Amino acid sequence: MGAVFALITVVAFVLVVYLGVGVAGLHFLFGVIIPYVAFFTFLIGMIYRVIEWARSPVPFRIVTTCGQQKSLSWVKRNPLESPYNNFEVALRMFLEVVFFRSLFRNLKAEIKGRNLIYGSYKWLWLFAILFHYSFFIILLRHFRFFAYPVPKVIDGLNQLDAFLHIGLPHFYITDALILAGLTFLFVRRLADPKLRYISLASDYLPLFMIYGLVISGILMRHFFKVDVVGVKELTMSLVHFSPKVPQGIGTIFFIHLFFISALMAYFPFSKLVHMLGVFLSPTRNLANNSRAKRHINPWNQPAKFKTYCEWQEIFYEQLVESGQPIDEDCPQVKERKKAEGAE
Amino acid sequence: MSLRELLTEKRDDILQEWYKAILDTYPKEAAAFLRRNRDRFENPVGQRILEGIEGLLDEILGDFDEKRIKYFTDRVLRVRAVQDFNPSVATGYILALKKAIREVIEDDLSPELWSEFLDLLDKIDEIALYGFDIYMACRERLYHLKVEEWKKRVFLLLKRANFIFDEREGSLPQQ
Amino acid sequence: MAKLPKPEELFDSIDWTPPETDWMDTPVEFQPGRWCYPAKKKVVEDLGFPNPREWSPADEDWKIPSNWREIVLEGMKERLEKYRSFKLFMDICVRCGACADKCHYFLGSGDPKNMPVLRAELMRSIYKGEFTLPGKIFGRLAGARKLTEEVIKEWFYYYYQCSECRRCSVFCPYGIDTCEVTMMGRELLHLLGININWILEPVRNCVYIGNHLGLQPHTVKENIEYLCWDIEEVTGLKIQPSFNRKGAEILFVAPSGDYFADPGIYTFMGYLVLFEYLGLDYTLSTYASEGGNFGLFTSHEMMQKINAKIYHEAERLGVKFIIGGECGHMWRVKHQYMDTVNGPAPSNLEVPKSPITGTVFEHAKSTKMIHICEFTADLIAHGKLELDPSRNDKYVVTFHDSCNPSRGMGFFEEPRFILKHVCNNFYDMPENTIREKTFCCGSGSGLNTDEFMDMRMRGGLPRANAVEYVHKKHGVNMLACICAIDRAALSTLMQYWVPEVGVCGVHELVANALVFPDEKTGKKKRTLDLRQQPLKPEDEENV
Repeated sequence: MGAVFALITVVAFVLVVYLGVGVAGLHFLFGVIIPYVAFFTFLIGMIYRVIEWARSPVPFRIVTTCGQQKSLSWVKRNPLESPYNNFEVALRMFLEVVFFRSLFRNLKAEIKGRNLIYGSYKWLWLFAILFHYSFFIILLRHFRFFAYPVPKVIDGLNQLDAFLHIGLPHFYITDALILAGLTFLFVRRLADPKLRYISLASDYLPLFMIYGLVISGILMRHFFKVDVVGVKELTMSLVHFSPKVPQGIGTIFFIHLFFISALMAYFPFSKLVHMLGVFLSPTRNLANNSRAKRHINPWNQPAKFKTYCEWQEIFYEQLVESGQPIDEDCPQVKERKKAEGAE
Repeated sequence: MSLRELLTEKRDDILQEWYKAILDTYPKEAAAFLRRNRDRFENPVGQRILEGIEGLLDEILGDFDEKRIKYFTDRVLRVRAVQDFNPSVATGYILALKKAIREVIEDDLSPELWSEFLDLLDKIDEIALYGFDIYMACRERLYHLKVEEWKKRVFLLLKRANFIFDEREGSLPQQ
Repeated sequence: MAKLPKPEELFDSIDWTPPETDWMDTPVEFQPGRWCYPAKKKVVEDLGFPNPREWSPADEDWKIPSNWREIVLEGMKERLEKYRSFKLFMDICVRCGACADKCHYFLGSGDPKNMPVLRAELMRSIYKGEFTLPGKIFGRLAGARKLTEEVIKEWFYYYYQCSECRRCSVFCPYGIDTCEVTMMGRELLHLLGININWILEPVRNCVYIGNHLGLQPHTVKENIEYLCWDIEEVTGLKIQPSFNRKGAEILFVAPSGDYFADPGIYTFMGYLVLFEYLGLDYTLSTYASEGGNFGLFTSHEMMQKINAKIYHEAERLGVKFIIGGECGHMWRVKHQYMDTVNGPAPSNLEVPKSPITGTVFEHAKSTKMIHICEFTADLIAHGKLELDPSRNDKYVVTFHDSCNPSRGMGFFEEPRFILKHVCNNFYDMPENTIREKTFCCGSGSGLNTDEFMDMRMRGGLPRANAVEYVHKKHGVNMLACICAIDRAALSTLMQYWVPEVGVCGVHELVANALVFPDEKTGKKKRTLDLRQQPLKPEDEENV
């Protein structure tokens, strides 16, 4: 159900742009207004999300320790899995964010009998890496449309990505990889009953939007070629805030542009915020040093509890009879003594 | 070809059918996990079931040793006795073997084999009865453990009050 | 002979496959053995918790206040503002499913709502439906739903089927910790007066009397003295521990299960024997007589309240530092919460320094409290203990990493180091079932009650299964652990799954192996272990 809804939404997106640009000719709306609105929604929305998270304090140091703590000097500890200071935390976060350490955790392929065990986990990690890195590289590549002159690094990346020299223009490797990653992530959701059970429309929608984005991009580069000079003219004008839509770019470009706009606008309201949220996760981004350094909880109130002296009063007889010392410093005992003396 | 030879030849198919029938008693999401994950530590339920039914089938095709049959039946029933099943469903997995066998060998089941086939069904019924004993023993043990746990919890109280003659006595019988 | 009927015809009448419905459309069925009894009215009253009443989860009407929706939503709002963890974990899950098969309750029961992701989703769907705009607009498509009484029942069922073991959080790429969600779920349920007796009664006892079991001070003392007589029978030592003594160097705090329950008492005897060996200047408190903290399974306020007594007592007695006994959730509190909620430590406390070896425990310089295994491991490393590991030769030992010390402290090597020195036969369980990936005993977070037996046995299966493996492979017959709940729960678990394996604390084995000077010279001879069983199998000579 969720997948169907997501699919319909994405098809609707294509239709809207087709009708809007191809038929009604609303170039300015789709080329300028929607991208701007989407971009600022993304920017403001993400900032807002982070501020919202940051406004809630971290009352306790709830690190999930995955390795030996620092204790006795001769015990070999694990600074990456049980960091003791901020530097080690940074390393742990680096592994987490850059290499998806936790997803990798199960990666221990073993052949037992005829079967390879832990296979699925390895795949999830691998395809998640493929997907995220391809997306990242593709994003970087696109900066050549937003900069003049194109920085050397971006140019180099571009050439590297196309180094197979297949087709003209050259086919990008990342395009293939991101499709592979997306397909795995999608098929997995359908094929594994556990995942099908937990998957929502909001899990399929981003996948389909990115599908749409990638496929429209590939189509535009290799099949329905668009006027690249015109495109760059448009993107540069957007960058300089003097928007101008040149004639004859081709509808497919607007579909591509609409998908990225939709994705950007959707981003802050969806699970995609994990991109920034991961940095704030208190089980990962804190040091496991809570016995060495006091962690402050801003809303901590002093505890209300029964003090020893109050308790001693209740169990006075039992304490005396069983020969346990009575604390004479307790005001209650002093009063008791006074009362006894008065008798 | 005797029935035993036929069954031995189709052993793996029968096992698969049987396993599938058992997994069908679990929620689909769990069944897929139980089937797929072959790690005995990550997936103890699935692996115990497999071990139990594989062993049983081999006993049926082989020596039909009572001790081993009970062991393999226990492997599965000890798990199912604490899961969300009525007694009939928990123990019914043994009878599901009949269906599995027939599904696999139906086309080859010529009338000459029928008498041997009926013997086979009797054997399965016999195992099902063992199964019922084992299931009951597991459930009884759970209740026994509840009592035992309370005794252990207040062990020192009982001991101090001399309510325990010997702390090793009154503990659980050997299984 | 007539043709046999088709197999399908025979079996079609029985449908074992559970109904296929979306999880939001699958209501909870309250079956016995899978939920815990509600807290008694009196207990709820004593603690000043809302809505004390007689009720049962099996009833249709749970008698919750009429404005329950407002209460829960207000409570959620407050907690979203107080806990970044809660808010973040509600927002960032992508439902990748990496955690799905990591929960021992899911592995044992196959109930899809026991997948950590779905357990959290029970709460997340309400968060989305009641607090976020997309959830309000798109409803189910965004995974959102409205808060209904059915949801409350579902929360009760599943948040008391989570042992807060945090295994899932190890595997989550964003570190989402289901334990936090469960804690919030339980706190919210408390607002409506929905709770379980197995947790609240100990909490009440702890608040009013001093420990979970409700042992009064004279009983605590008598129990410990009784244990000392047993020690005397085994070792010939006359031990007289002091109680509530001012001016001692060390305050020792143990979980109260160790005063009373089998096999916890042997661990307690182990501590006493060790301290006697060292001639340690320590005292026990009958006031702060509980190291454990069922408040952790109730609410943060209750956890703080129960924990506060320890610093308070340490201050009154004027000790220099605190040693804590073998207990799992107790150490999560001591390590991750105590300093924050009740610190800074009283000024009379100093950075813990072993009076025997002079080792300074820098890593506890703020809390001033160390784990007894850290203390003992340090002694062994400095060669301060004369040990005869062959005294434990009848045991082939494995070690269960308790969830809280593992995933909340990173406490792996210290107990292993001790075990390897006090017994000759030690084998670890397979790698994926120990250390940070350890499986829960199935009874953690206050669920070790007898009415919950079926779930406990299921949830404990992955653990028991790994024990069975080393039992068959290496002949393991003793499961050592550093947790009082484990000592109780694993005993029962083993009795069901692997009855050949016993359960003990690490310090029970330490005391067995400890050679006193008189024993070394041959003046005295030890023939019994702390359980008063022969040290060696009967056919062998006891040396």
